[in-house]
Amino acid sequence: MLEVKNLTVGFKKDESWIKAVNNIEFSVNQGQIIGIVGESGCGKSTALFSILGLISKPGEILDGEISFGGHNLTTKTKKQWTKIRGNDISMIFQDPMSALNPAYSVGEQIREIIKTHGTLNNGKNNFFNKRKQRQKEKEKVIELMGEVKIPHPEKRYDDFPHQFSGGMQQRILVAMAIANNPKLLLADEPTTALDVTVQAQILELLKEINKVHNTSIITVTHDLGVASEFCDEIIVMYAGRIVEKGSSYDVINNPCHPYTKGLLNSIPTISEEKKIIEPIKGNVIDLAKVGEGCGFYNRCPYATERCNAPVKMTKINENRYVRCIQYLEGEV
Amino acid sequence: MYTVLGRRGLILLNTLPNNDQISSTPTLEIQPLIEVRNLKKYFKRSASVLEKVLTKQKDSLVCAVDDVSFSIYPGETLGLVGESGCGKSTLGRTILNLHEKTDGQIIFKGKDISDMSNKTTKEYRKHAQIIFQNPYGSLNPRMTVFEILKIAIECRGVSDPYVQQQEIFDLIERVGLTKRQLDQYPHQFSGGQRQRIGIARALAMKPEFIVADEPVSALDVSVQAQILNLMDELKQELNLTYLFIAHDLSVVYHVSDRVAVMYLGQMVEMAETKELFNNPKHPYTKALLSSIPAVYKDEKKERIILEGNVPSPINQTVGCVFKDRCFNKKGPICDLVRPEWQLIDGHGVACHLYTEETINE
Amino acid sequence: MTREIKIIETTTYDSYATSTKLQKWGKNLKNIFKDLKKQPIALIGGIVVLLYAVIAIIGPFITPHSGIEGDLADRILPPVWMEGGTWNHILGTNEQGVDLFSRIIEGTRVSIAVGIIATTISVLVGTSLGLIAGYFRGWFDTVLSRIADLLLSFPFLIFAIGLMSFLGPGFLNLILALSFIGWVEFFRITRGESLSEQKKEYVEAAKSIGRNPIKIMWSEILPNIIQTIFVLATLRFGYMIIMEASLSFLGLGIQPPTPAWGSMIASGREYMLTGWWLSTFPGIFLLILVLNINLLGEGLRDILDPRMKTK
Repeated sequence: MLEVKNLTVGFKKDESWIKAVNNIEFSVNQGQIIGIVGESGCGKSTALFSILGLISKPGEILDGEISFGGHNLTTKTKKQWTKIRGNDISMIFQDPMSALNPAYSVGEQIREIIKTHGTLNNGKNNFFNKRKQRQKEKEKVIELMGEVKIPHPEKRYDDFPHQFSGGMQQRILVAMAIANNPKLLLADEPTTALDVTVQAQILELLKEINKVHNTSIITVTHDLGVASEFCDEIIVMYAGRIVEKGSSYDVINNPCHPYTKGLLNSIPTISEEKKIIEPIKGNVIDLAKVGEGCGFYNRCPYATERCNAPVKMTKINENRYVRCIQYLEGEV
Repeated sequence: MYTVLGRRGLILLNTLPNNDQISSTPTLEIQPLIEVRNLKKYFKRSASVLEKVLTKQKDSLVCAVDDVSFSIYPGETLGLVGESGCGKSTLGRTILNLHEKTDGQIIFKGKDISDMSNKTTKEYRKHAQIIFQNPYGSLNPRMTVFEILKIAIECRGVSDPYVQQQEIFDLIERVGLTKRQLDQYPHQFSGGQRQRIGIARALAMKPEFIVADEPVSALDVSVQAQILNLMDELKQELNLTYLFIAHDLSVVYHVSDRVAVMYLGQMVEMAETKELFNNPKHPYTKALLSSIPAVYKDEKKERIILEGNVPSPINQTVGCVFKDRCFNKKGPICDLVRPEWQLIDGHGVACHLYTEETINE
Repeated sequence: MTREIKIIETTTYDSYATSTKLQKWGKNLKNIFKDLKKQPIALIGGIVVLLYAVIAIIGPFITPHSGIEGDLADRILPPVWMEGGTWNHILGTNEQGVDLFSRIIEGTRVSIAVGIIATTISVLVGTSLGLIAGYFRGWFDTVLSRIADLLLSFPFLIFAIGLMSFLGPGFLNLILALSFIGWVEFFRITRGESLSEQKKEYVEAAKSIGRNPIKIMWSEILPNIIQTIFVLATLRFGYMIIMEASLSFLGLGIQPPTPAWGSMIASGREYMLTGWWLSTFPGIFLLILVLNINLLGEGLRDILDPRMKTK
């Protein structure tokens, strides 16, 4: 359904390009939930935004193509984007309080999406029946609010965002995102700003939407627990590149790339024996200094001279990929 | 004394209930480092004159900390968990007198310091310090690291510049940074490094007790591990006691000896870490623990999804704080009477399901 | 070898502890100049203002004639490029035969003095009150804020006129009147900024190590808000000069024979047809000064504010 090929996104700094996303490739099937995992600065949010064409100056898509339903999204014009965003692909943001307009009621904001894309009137603007149209849209909004489990949606239609709690606001964002039954839902750390019990509620909600509407979801997260439980597939990014890809069970329980291994070793988990957490030594490399070789070179316990050369993605199994020199020559 | 008894001593200590009657006759001689009795911190939200006239809104009382009692023993790490609005940060700050308490007693090393006069507070600051959550806001952007640490050392009473300098050098290396970085400004450091500076500043006062208010929440996952290990090293080296406030339960599981759970300003459960995680008694703790996303699938438990939202702490709650969302309610008593703190084999819980009558039934 | 290195290290830090403040200020100024060069308009503004300041200081010693006494025989002589003008009086003379050029230069001293003193008093009073009100809140804050609101509800000029009529004309009274209203703005800004800075955790951290409130206000909060105050002060400086000119124009400020641009413009009104230069040249000098002050102030704002965030 969605295929990202050789995508490179760069930011211009002092006459040179810093590649926030460096030649990544992945695909999403209909109905899949994919998690992009990584720490700050790895490029995951940039990759997500580029799918919706939200990269603006000084950033630019330097190379690659994103093919969605037969079209290449990297070449869309602004006008063409207005038909896609909120319609075929929609997005949920991290901080619901700032994503909602405090001056309008939540019902109106959800209705705006339906109105803009003319979902209920097949794109035709019926001038003479505006009131009836508005009523139909309002009913659809209340239906949506019920679907995201906002209690008493009819009463809360006219409430403003600040009258809702964080979890409720995020549900409203979800309602806005699914209003036009998109094929793909993008989520930028949707639960980072929420409490853990509310996070569980929102993730359950998204899972249900995925099941009922068969919507694909790509979520960006730094929480490996969320990735493990919520996602079918995990993509691990580091310094702008995909270093590992595979089913979530596989990546978590049989990590291949040294970064993934290091990451899993450094997070505290609730288990019987006391775990000794080992931080990954060193710091994330400055993106400007990353050459064409492996970005993890300066921190990798297995690093060798050969790691400075470009490394290709190795296919280990069906749907299991790693980008590491150890696996190129079968040194597992 | 603590080192002689070791961990087991701590387990036995938990059988000491924390109310007035019994703590006066301890079975063991270990004195808690900090004892908090019936601590209350209420914030008054006064409605303006217009609001009172037009909408008949009254002055409201935000009960951030509502009658909390517990003890922290020397050398332990007490984890404090709860969701936003539960009052854990306020509790941490009130214990240090960064917020003036509304009522209750604070006893430090056996001495009642509840009066919190200027003199007492100044002395207290040398024994109890805080590490803040936000590494980006907790350092003055206009001061170099050297100056930030120098001020802290000066406040402790050291005025000789050479002694100050030596101490600063020691501190900076102990937290893992270099002397070269002393004349840089906070914005030139990463989040993890800034947090190290924050730790250095807290240590500059040479405290015995540190309240760590979500020290790793704002940091990247791999940096969290560095800071947690650093805090652990420092604890062993300097014999520190931590009150570790966090919302990330895996982190709390990893660092704490005992864990306390707060909900809406009240403490609902407290037990040794493993005991709490394996055998939660309070319904809220059960729901909280079940909603943690598990990294490894074998840890996965059945998820309890709570209905509704965290209610606001405005105006005191009648009855049990969890009554609106509890899925295991005992009955009408939950709406009327605030449950008392019960100790069952060292595991403390405030829930009507565990009151004497229920157990005897 | 290692021993040598150690010794070098300690000596660097020996002087480090004591000379930090000076080094910091020195570095700051250097950076400001560097940035100023990148903004030509602000640089021009700065140079012109500096020129005026120099004129104010040494001007009266180098004027060709006296700015106060003149020869009635030479009254209302036109400037040098017009018919009847002489090189003796480049810009002509006024109705009392005083050389206009000299008089304008002497007037610079008055205007700049008024500007600097009135602005400084406003800044000092307003900032200290603002810091205290913002830190301690309570009744002090409420009372002062209401007084500030009250004072701000009057148009500046009208209020100044009222005050001057009450106090009587003169240099000191003028400064008093201007400062009386001028502090309010600085109070408001300081209070607002200090309130928002206090919410930041480093202030709480300072409290947690036990610093006393005055030290906190002085060395934690103030350095972070001084940029805004400085920029505002630069802009207010120009405004104070205009106020002085306006009041002098109305006869309430500096009285003749003391030279002041405002009163020069006022007294030149009667002669607009016969001697237009009497009002015009003082006006032009005033215009150029205030314009360049504003350019400098705007440039400084652009330099200092984003620098604070990226610094």
